[in-house]
Amino acid sequence: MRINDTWLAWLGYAREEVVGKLRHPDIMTEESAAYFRATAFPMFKRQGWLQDIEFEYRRKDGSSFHASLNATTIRDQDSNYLVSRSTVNDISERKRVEQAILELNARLEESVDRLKEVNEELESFSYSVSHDLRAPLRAIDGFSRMLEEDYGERLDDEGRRLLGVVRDGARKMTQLIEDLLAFSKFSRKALNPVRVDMQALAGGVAAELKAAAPHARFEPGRLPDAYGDPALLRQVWVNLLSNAFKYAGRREAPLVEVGSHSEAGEHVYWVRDNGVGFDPRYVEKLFGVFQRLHGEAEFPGTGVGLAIVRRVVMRHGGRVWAEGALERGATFYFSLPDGGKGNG
Amino acid sequence: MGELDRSEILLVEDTPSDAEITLRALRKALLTDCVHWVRDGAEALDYTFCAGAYAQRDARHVPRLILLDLHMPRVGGIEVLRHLKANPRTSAIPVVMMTSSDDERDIVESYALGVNGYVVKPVESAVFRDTVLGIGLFWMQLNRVPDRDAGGG
Repeated sequence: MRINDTWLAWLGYAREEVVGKLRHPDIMTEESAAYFRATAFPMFKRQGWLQDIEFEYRRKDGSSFHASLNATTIRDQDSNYLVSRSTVNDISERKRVEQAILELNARLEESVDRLKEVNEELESFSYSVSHDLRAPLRAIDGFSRMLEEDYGERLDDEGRRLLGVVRDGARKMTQLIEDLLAFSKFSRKALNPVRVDMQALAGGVAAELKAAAPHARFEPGRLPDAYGDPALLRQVWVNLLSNAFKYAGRREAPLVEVGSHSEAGEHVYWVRDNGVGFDPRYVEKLFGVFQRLHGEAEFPGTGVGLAIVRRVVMRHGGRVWAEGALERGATFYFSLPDGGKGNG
Repeated sequence: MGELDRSEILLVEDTPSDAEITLRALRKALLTDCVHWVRDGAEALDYTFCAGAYAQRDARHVPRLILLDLHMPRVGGIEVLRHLKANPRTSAIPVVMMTSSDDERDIVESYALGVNGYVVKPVESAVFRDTVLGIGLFWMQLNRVPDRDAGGG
């Protein structure tokens, strides 16, 4: 075996320790040497060359490094085997990077799994908490009602007022819990995706809402079919349209419009109203649970509707966003991937 | 005939405040005190099958309606329902689930076992009272069941 200086430097041997004394597999780890003898060398003898075969070499000091081997046979004029020429490239760095990527990926997958688990735990926690809160709440409301019924006449005005505050508080908390449970339900419900006629869905919901707001005008734009869970998508329309009718309700001529456009593999649906709008500085808060940009006395609600919209749309692989200005109306958008197999 | 034997409605409910609200609504609606309240499924089964503390009860007299909570300590509502519907002596007694759970699995399982009604307890007291009232009026005044005690008592 002959060897060049670079190669000697890599291995940490002096020339005289190698030449004529060591054979190629002698400077490999046991595993690589076994592979060399059993597979690579027979292959080399058969075909006369080797290309980019990875081995782990052992330095004189016992440490190791990865290298890729290329080898060719050199023969004399009569095709007799003379010698083999091998070149070796140190690929330790590439190996190290590959290993690091593998480890990072494994860690990432672990984090994703953990995150999923935590998320599920959190959802089931919020479900059971709001669930278990119902019984004591029913007691507060029920027993203060009994007090009112049985002892109301013996209370003076202030006594009755205080009792009214208790019952009012219980009612509000009831609403909060019901909404939280609804949010949790829409987060947990299994998706049963089918083709959904959004035009009919939005139109039906709007007709119901319009019945309660006869002076409002509804302008239906063209809405392409979607691919999703009909019950959940209906809830998206219910929440967006009831908001629109609610916030436009105080206008002289309330107007609610729906429409859509399609871009880059997704359908974007929107609901616009000419109502009180919102301060765009707080647009990020709109879709959070229990986040409200208007006082309870001004417009009733607990602030769960848009959180449900976002959760449902996200579960369908879409996005939600909003545009608006104070006193200048609001537009709420949601996108759904164009799963439209066929005429979408 | 003791007071126990006359009970026409069996209320199975582990939350005392819910039980009290229910009892009050039933009494007002039906103008009757014939409701017997037990606190869990084990007691419900003892009462219905005249066992344990109820060994002395007249077995010929079965409740005309059972209002059954779902999640209770010891023996839960589903297990009580299974026993009631599996026994020919009790299978015709109307059983209405009254529970906080609107979990689809609970609803499906209850109907698979032959429950006669499934009601999710409303939180708001006025609605809860009206709900109990409606259940009481329907099952006790409108609904007919096979008359087991005909000529017997």
